[in-house]
Amino acid sequence: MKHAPHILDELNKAAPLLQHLPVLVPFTAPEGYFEEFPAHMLLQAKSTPSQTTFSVPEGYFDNFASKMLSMAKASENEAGLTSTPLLDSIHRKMPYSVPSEYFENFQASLPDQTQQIPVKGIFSIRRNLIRFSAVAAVLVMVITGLWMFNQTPPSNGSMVAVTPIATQLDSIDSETLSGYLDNTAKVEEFAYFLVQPVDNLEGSLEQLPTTDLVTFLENSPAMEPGT
Amino acid sequence: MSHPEDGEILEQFRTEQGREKAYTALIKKYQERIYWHIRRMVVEHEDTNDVMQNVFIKVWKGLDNFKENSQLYTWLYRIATNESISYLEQQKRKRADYSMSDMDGYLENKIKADQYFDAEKIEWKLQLAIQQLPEKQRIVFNLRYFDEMPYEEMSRVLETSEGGLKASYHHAAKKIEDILTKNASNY
Repeated sequence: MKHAPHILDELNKAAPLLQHLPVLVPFTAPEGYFEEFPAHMLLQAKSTPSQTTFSVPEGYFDNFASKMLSMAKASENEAGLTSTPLLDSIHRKMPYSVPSEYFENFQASLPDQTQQIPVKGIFSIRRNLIRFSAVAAVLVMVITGLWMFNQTPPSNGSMVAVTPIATQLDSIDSETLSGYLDNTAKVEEFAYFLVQPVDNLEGSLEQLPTTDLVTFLENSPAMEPGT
Repeated sequence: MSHPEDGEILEQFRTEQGREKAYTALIKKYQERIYWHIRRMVVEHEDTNDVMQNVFIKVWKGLDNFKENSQLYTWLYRIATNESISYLEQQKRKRADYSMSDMDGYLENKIKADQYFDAEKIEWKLQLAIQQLPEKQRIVFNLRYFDEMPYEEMSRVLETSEGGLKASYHHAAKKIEDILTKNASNY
């Protein structure tokens, strides 16, 4: 078998070698295949339903939409997605309002605001430094005070030397010492009188010597009645 | 053997009593052309037979709705081409671990497995060379080289422009010539 002239011309331009090849398909079909195929095919075609082999129950599609809707609602109820009738009746529109053209201008103004806001760290080093310094100063003062309070005076001559009491007493003459003791006794007695409770005042006055009372009244300034 | 005209077959098919006779006449008229078109694509007879049955089942189901503004054999070729491509795709999916090149090797192996295969004969060499073409070029080359189908008809079968088909055929012929020349120099 040879090619038609226009096919040969075409091959001559594209691939000259191919125009010399035999136009032959080396495959073979089984003997008698084409004689039997039409009858075999007819049998197969007749046994093949023209429509789909599946069927649906009668009236399936009539209520399909409403059935699916009720199923969808039921699944919502199971998932707890539905609310109460009262909530359902409330309009879902947000009651809040925003300034006019807020959202139009929001994007444009956002970068500037971001630049103006200082970045706050979680910890402020400067503020903490002041706090630590104050606490440290208070601690230093307390520790220093305690240290000074507990300090005993040094025994060497850095302080004023204290003369022994016996030596000092030797240097005082007997009259001076006697007069001192007399005055001291009176003062002590009067001081005792002063610190006594009021309800024991009469008893205390009775214990005082009369001369002492007279001396006291004479030396005291005159007092107005009722004072 | 003379065959009835396409119009006569179609008219008879639309009548209840002439339906089977018309269907048989249509198969007898086109079966060999369709068979070889499929066979060149899927190579093996058993595979070809499967595709043939798929094609003519579709013809049985769809002939009532066939639009007579196109030729019957163009319609048959289109069904056969699409069914062959689908069949090869199925084979590819079944061998999911095969890459595309392995799939080409799969068809080459089928050719070599043919009981009449002769590696020395040029017609077998040509078939092996055709299998190295991309799928689209392979179909175009087969339709033009073996069936001598006009580009106008081919554009209706493959739904591609005539210019594109001419270019595809030119590239395919050139590649096959190169392959055959290269193989000849190797021996």
